[in-house]
Amino acid sequence: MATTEVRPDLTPSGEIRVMSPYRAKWLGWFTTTDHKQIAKMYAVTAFFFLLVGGTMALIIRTQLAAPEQTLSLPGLEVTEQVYNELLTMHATVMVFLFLTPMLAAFGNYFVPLQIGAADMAFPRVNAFSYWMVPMGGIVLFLSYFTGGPAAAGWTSYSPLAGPQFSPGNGVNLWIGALAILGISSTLGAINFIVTILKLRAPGMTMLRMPIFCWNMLIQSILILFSFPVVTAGLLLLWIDRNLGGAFFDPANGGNVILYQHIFWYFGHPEVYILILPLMGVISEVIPVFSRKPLFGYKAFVYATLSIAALGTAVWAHHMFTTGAIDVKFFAATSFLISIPTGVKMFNWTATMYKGKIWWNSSMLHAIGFLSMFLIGGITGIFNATGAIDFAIHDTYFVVGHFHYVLVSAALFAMFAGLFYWFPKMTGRKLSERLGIAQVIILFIGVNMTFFPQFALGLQGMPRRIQTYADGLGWGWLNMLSTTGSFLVGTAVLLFVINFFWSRKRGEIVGDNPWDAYTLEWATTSPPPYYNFDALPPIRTERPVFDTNHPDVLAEDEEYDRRVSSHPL
Amino acid sequence: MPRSKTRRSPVAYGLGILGLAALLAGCGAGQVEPVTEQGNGLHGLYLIVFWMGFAIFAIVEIAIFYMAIRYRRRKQDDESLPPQIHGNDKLEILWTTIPAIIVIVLFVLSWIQITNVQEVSADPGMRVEVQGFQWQWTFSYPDETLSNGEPVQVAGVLGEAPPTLVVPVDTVIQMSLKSEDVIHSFYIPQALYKLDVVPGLDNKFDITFDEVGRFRGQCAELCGLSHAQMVFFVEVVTQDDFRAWMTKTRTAAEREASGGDKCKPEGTKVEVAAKNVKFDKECLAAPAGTPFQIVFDNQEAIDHNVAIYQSEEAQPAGEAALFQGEIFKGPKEVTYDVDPIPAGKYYFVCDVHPTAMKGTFNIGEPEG
Amino acid sequence: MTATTLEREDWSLPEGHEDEGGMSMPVMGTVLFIASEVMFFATLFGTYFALRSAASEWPPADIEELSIFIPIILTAILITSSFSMHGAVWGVRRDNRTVFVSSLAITVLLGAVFLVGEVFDALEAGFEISTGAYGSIFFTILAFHVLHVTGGVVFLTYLLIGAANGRFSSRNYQQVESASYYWHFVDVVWIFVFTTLYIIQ
Repeated sequence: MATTEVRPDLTPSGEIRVMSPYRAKWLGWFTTTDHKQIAKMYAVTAFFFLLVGGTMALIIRTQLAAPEQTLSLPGLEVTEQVYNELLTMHATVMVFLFLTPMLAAFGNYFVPLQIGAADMAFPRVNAFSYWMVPMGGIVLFLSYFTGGPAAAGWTSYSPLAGPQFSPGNGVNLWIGALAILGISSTLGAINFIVTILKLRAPGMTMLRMPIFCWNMLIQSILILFSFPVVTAGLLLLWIDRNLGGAFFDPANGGNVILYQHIFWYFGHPEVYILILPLMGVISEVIPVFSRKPLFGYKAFVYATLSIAALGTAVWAHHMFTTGAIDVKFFAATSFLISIPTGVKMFNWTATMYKGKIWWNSSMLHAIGFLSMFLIGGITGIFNATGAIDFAIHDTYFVVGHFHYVLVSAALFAMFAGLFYWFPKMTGRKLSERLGIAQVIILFIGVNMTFFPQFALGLQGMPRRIQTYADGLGWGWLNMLSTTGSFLVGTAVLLFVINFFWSRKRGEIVGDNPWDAYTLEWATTSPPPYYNFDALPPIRTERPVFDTNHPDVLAEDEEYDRRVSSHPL
Repeated sequence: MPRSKTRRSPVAYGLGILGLAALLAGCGAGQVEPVTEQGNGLHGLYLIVFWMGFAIFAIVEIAIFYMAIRYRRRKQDDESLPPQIHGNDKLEILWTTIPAIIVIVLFVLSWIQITNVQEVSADPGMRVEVQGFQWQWTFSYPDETLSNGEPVQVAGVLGEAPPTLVVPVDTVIQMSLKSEDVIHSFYIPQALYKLDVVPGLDNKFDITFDEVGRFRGQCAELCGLSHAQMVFFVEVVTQDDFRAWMTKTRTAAEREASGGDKCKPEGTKVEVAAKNVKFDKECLAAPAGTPFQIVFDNQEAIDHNVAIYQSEEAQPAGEAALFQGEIFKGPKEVTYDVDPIPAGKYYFVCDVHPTAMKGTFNIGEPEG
Repeated sequence: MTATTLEREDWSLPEGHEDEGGMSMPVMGTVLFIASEVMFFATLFGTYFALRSAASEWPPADIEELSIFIPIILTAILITSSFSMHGAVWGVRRDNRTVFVSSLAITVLLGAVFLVGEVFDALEAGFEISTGAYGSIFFTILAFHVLHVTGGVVFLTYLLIGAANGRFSSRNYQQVESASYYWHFVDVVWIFVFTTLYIIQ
């Protein structure tokens, strides 16, 4: 019974206790198995790497701002070698050390809370998964001290990444880091699946589960089936490099294209691995701030399932120009995957219809996500045709396309989630004023950065070039893009400032400041070590809301009955 | 209700989008102007996809912003909840079906274009062999051979002027792509096409330029350090100009192959180096009738020497050399003194590696 | 506005959701882990067949055909060990300590013998990992199988020590059950290894 004012999570002065049974505060960070604390560690690590990878991006953009230049920064001259290292490390850091851990952070904090569990299924495995992330980061960055990092792109296509053309330790450490991070993700995925399948509170049926948890579940299944593949592929590359293997060496019976198949069999699902949880975040934020239930809950679940299923059959659309695959087949599957993606777009938009939309930082970020993801999705159609891809593959058009999805849309969704859940994690709200400034700057920034890249790609600028000739007309578009990238950097810094300010001085809000729907809002902010001392009855997809608004319970129950009785 | 006010925003937004569309339409919807037959078809598809995508973009984007603005919570609103709509099955079916139809149409159109560009003729008008290497290109014309059986070649040298591939207009040209090191990608932006140059694969494609001009091309697959410098040009000329160019190039190549202008005696000191079991020069020259010196720089820790023979067959046949330098291990530089040799065309080889290391040795009258 | 004053009561469960039951968490975790391992080995076997289908000669002419004598014996040993592993689970479920401990000990023993045999046989092959694509994939598949068997034997030994100290019973045998799934998986992989590398060479 929580009517008593005993808050085991607070000190007598109202300070938040470290939610760990261990006494020493600093030791607690190393020994904790609490999913919330691990989530925070994931988030801090991910944000650190966002700043690292973002700095690399700014250096890359500055180098490209003007034609025929080699940028000279204090202590760093962006030569061809340095440029290739930067583009490799930027992508690796952003994909494996920023986005993946950031999603693990969201999942770790909110999956147990949303399903009414006390912790993850395997808390110690969870801690182990986390600690492998900084480990992987250290291994990756060790290469800077042992003769230079990998410079063969984040795809590390063989033979370029093979022993002959990338001697030295860079690629070896890159393989090691990815293997470590891959195992971390795989163990994390197993943990999420078991948690979701086994630890749901009584009453929390699969079809009453928040969409965020659904998306984490499906993401975890994708991880489980794609990460081991790339781990195996990378080990083959390692054997080629260090033990004289010939897997990808055509002179000795090896097959160059095989590497690309293995890599993209993982690489494409990876895109969905990175975006599905963020779609889940958006599916939480938009209904709450529209004051309406999610439009088409069931459609969302099936759309996500079909995206995951199709996502395993589209990988070779990254290989349309290799001349070694069936372009038509993969064009067909790639087209198909746009249908469920579209269904999601329409459902989000329809959720806002006739709502009472609460214009706050979180919701505005979510609207930004919809708007950006739409551009990312539609430009994907051009690639999916196969035919048009012959022109735009490996040009800045593709760079623009995937950055719209993985930067523009992903950052908006991530910030939407952080503004939405920050009160739950700290008991305080992030500053709205800074938040709205951030939305505006970020919106202008990402569009200014990535929209010109479509034009550059259509004009024939290949990606991954250190510089380009004068007189091609690419200079001003690149300058525009570079200017925008600094705006993106400003928006991210604004968030960092907002975070540190609001942590201490943000407005103190109650346990459920948004009058939100799902179980995490049924406990205190921040939640105690054991998460819940009581749960509301779970009869629908939004138990907390129904408890607070008994007038809509009947309506929600009616919908719940329909969903549960006809799963198809 | 300030309805008129809230409506203005989506309208303004729509106008903005239309303005952007007009701007883009002015320049081929952003894409470069195609100069090949295959490229024209691809550009047509691009325009269809562009406008279809643009329409979807405009509709959905306007819908998003319209909803967000029209249904925003206002100050005067009470705390009551809006209608709790859970969904609509008919709408779900509708917005699954319509995109499905669009996608099927686009797929059929793509199918046609893919078939078109992937078609490889058994009897093309001309063949070009493209060799990509770190970090330049060599183009050879297998149909145009020299007297020694080698095809006419245009070679690129890193850091110098990029190579220019000269081809006739309105001819089906079959490009065959080869690489012996890493993966490259042969990309001509104005052909709207690229194909990877993959070691171990023999990728081919047909291309028909329908416009005369000079077009830029570039490697599009990260291939190591100087990837950005792997630029080339394609010069499309009329049939007549192409024949004239070919005749000129062939003459120059024949001269080159037979020793050429570059290989004339210039003083009594001849320099040659050995590296990677190769001589750095294919042709040496010295004046006739006077003693001269060969400065031999053996740059590797392998036995090499320089010897001069009467003919190419003399060394393998075991005939005596006109001059035989001492065999030694590098890295070391040795100066051989050679006795006078009468004018004529000779051969030089390394006695240790006679098949890999050989070249022509011209003994003639000094220049001027 | 606060929902925290509610108690766990009055769950409204739709039909068919009363009892989730089923697999225990550690066993489910093991099964998912094995699923990821399946993908790992599938990649290796996929690589094998991709290389093989592209090769003009397989195995290359200068490589002698492998003897299948030792691998057949190894197969028999490993299949037997799967049965003894099953016996161990049977025993622990019924609190039959004699069957449990002895079956587990037999499994560990057979696993160790298999391991020695597999490594010995691999070293006898007349080629190396650097002998072209054939050698590379042959030794890679074998090496990863050896690693997995080693892991299995180590874990089973750990269980055996626990079993000897009376740690498991019919109410606490999740680790044994997990280990048995894993062991059967390693066994099945061996059948694939044996068929691919030895039978259809």
